[in-house]
Amino acid sequence: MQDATGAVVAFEHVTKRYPGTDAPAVNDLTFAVPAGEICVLVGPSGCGKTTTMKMVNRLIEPTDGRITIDGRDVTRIPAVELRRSIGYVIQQVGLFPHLTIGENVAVVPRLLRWKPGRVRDRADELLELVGLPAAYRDRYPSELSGGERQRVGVARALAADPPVMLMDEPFGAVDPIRRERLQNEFLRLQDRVRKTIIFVTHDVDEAIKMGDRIAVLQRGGILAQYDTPAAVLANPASEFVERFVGADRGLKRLSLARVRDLDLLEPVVVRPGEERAEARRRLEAASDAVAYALLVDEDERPIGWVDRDDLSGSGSVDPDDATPGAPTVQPETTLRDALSALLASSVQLGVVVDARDRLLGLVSVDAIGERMRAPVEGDPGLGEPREPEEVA
Amino acid sequence: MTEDAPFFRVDWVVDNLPEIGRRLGEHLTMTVLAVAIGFAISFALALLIRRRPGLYGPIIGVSGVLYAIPSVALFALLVPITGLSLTTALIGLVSYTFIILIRNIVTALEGVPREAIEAADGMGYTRAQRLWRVELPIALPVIVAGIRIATVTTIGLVTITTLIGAGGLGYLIVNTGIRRFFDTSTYTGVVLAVALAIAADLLLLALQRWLTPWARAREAA
Repeated sequence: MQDATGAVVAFEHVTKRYPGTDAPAVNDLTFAVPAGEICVLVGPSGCGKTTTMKMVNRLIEPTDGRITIDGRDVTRIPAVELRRSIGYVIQQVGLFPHLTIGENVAVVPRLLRWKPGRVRDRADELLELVGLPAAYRDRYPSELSGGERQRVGVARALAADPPVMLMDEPFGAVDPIRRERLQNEFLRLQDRVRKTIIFVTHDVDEAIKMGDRIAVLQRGGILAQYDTPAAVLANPASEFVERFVGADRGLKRLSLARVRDLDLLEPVVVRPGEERAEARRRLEAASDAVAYALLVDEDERPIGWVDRDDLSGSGSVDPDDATPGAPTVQPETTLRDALSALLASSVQLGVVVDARDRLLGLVSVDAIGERMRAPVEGDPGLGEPREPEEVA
Repeated sequence: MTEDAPFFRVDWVVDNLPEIGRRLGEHLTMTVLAVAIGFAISFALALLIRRRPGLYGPIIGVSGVLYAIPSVALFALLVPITGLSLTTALIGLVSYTFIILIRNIVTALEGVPREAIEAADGMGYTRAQRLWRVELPIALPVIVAGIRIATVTTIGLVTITTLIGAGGLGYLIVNTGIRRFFDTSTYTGVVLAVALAIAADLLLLALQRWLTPWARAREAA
């Protein structure tokens, strides 16, 4: 798409005090998000992460300090104009139920009085960008699934091509499997659009996965640490960060690497209609490590595993021969999520698929284990083992 | 009922079609005027309540008292002030719509999902744009439901206004019917009033469906 890179978003001594409260909600926050990066604000509830985010588009006004976008103080820009120039995604999505998907996506362009033709073209372009069929343009939000609605929410936020996007727990309301896919999709999208994104979550794993940088906030709106995920995991700046990140930092380190960083295994692929005897011969010829062949449909989408017994007899292979339920992961899936999916399945092999569910290869628990022993790029490692933490 | 006076005299209806039509027209006009004026005032008051929620109690209280006054008594109180006129009839009719319409509009606006409002604010709608383009369209089904109740109630009440000389189907029921012991006229008036109420209700329902195709999509989903 555009090579539009985001803008630098800088917080300078930003404080927010609500009237009638002693303790500030956000306390003297200073940090800058480089253009085109995802900065995740993470912390326990009451840490002021949402307040911090909402001060960027002036849904909440800071009491002190200033926030700038490419050097412009946001409080000097009329609120309505500012908000139209910043993408905004919320957890409950907040699509307008009375507007079609196309109209929902076109909301900001319409507010900006784009010409109707341009608005229409942009809506179509956006639906394609987030991977929704063009036919969805005339449907209403109530006719879509939760995941689809969330994608429309992202498309709507991108409509006027804003340099900055604010996302408040955008994947919080979706079930874990769909969330994983939406996260992957969003990362692929971000590779193309390169916005500056301020992303709020309470989930450390999501922060590690999504963030180029993580701002860990603690109660009272104090910035406990601001660094790359690898650095936060390797060198927590304080006891609070260490506790918040969790005792399983070794395991979380797995979130720093992705399936795409591994060498994938080549599966024995079987297609419906193939002679059973021929399929059996190929499976037997394969190495002992692979006891199963993968049945895929005509679009290269995995259907399920077949073993030697499934392939016994004569005739041709049938889709019903397969045992469905092979865990699928994507190149963007973190090794931690991949490992978790693999351990949950009987065959400890994961099927790696692309955005269109087409087979790319296999990933094994062993391959992940091997990767764990190798140093991760940008991750200085865990260093000396520490004493176990007492849990607060 | 005797052999000379059948239960229902179709010939009278046929002979008096123009008169019946005129009364029906009067009835309809008064209903439309009362509901339209009532809605305009209620809408303004509901928006006022939105700005100052403290006013909800007092406004609903006064509307409730107005609603509680028996209609005959209300008209009797108004006649010395505004006379035997259409104005008198309308003041009474309009005041009865308040409690239904104000409460409905306020509830409808409160029922707009919070996240839709937050999204609208976050995307840079002005307050007025948010009201007209987001909140009111979403609130429309509930608002129209209120208008339907107000309309049906008003059609019933309009029959009383014949007592202060305002005409309408009440004229057929009371003046040429009950007072002259002429049942055919009474029945004609009653049947037409009921038919008018049903027709108006269905028409408004159709209007609401037409205006809110998205609400049907939700039902289907």
